[in-house]
Amino acid sequence: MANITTQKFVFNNQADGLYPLVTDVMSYIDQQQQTDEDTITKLKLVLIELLTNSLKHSGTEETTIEITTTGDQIIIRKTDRGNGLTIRCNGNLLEWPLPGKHHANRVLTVYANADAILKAKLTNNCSLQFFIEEAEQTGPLDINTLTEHFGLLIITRASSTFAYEFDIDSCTNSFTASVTSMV
Amino acid sequence: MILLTNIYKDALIAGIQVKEANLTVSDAFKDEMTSLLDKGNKYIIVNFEGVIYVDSSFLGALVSSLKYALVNQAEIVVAGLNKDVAGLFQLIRLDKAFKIYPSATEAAERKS
Repeated sequence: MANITTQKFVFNNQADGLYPLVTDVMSYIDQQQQTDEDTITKLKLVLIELLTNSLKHSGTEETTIEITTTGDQIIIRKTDRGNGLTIRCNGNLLEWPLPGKHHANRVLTVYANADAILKAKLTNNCSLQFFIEEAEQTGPLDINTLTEHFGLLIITRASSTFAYEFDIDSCTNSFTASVTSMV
Repeated sequence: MILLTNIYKDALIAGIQVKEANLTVSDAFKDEMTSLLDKGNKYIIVNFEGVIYVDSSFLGALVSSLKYALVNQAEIVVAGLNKDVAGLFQLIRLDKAFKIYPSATEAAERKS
């Protein structure tokens, strides 16, 4: 049976602390689990974007990163007690937790790129799962259709699964990304 | 200043002078790129040599600069990406939007 281990790291939400923390986390993962180069790149990208998301949006002084290694997967969970997730959808700003309870299976378009649409499937009014719908691209790439927002897209592409949850009891936001190791 | 520029043949090489190309420098980068395009430069090589990582904010600024370049009938290419940054371009398909060269001098030599 695979040895499951978990380790917590604290991010001070300062830009100059971002890359040193990424380095610390990657050293920890390297000690726990053998991973291939492609997986290492994906893990770094997920970490950088999760921490950048905190810098930009959380409005709080501390973010926790929890790393769980399971043998074939590395699970990165970011939690904070800052601002809830917001997504602009069809001109409306949605803010979590969403009001009301009838949201299960609703699908939102987060943003559309030239060759991919980032979507989110709601589980309930507090949680959702991001996924990408590939857009069929014919002809040359139209640069003007490219999005300038890449954070959630990067994490979704680099992960096997990527989800957000707002815990009402603790008022905690958590983003959880799992990356499958190819080794 | 985020960019150190020098002319090489018919190209302008704009070398990124920070190791961390992130949200703290993305606005300044975009402003400097806009200024270089406004000055009439038609082929700009953004040289990432020495950059250890690039975040989504910086990529947004780069794409915004590319759109502005198109309006100005100019071209932006990138060079000197490390393995992680090259992986990032590939992951979100920006390798289809930018020509990518191993080095700035090679990008200048291959200017079409």
